[in-house]
Amino acid sequence: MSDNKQKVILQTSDDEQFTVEKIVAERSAMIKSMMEDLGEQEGQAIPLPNVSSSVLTKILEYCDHHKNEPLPAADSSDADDSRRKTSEIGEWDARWIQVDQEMLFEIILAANYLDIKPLLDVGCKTVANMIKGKTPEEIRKLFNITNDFTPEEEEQIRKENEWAEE
Amino acid sequence: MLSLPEELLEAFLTRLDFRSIIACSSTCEKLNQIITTSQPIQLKLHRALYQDHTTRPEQLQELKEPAIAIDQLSNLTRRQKAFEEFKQSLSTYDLGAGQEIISAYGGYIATVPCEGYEDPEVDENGYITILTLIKIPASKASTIEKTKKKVILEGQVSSVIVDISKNLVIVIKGSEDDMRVRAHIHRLFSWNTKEQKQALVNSLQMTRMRWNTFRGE
Repeated sequence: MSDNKQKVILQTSDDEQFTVEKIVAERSAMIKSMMEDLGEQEGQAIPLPNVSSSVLTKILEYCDHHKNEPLPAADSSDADDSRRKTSEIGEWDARWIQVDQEMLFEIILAANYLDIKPLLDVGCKTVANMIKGKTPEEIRKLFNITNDFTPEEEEQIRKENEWAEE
Repeated sequence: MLSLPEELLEAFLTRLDFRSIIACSSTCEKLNQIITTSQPIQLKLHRALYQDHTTRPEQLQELKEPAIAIDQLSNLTRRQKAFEEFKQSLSTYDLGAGQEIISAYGGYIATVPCEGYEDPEVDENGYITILTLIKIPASKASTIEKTKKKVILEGQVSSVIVDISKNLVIVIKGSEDDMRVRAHIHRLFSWNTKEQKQALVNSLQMTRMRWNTFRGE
């Protein structure tokens, strides 16, 4: 069975179709299970209503780069553990995920939807790295967060947290 | 960022270090809410405070990255199992009248008063000392060795203040060993009750209470 070169068609929210190798598409546990459900219906596009073509293009780069790595087992808290323990992001991944914030969040949302766990992990770590070492005000500015505490609440929280700050 | 689903915000926050989590809790209602109600994040905060018990708050920036909550949960399960086995091996151990073993860990037995115990003391904060740590006697060493290899038979007897309604275990004094035992007991308290989630929400208050205790407030 030369399954590896088998193709699958993915259709994005903006109705673009992508023909990709099965082994690449299978990085997504969601697509993988859909393919299993659909069976061998050649030429049938798999709809991805939550992913735009620009985001899918980016994600397919990632999937293609990692296509030969073992898939995380569906029920693998061990694999999960070892992946989470290393707080570092691989060199290729780190370069690949250098995108603007909007794209970063879209990638994370799509990784979550498509169920690509290692990619979701890379995305979350990237956001965490952006936050690390910043003050609350810097974090608000970075992510355009509105301070919606009342002055009293803010004072209360400041008091409760002051021991953790400088 | 705030328009992302909460599960993703939680995923970001659980990957942060202690200080950054605290910083995020001061940014807005939503993040504060997630941080104070998320079990993995609360466990992580706990662990940061209790793993290295010699750390004073002013040294927190030097805390090394604590292990993630999922590790803690599996460790906890293992320890609880170990304790269940350990408790059985100590079933014939005589504590004297009015004492009941609730936990054993790190060379100590934690006891609470039961029938036959005199009235406990109430301190100026209204907390009742109802939990006592007793060093495991050397004569029991052989029994202990069988079930738990790493028990160290040393240290001192000390007391802990417990407020069961809030699952608070407050540090008053004691050796480094005491701190470890307390952290362990606190976890047993937090996880053996039906109000597990509430206990963890309360636990942030506990970390604050601990600091107030350090400052003598």
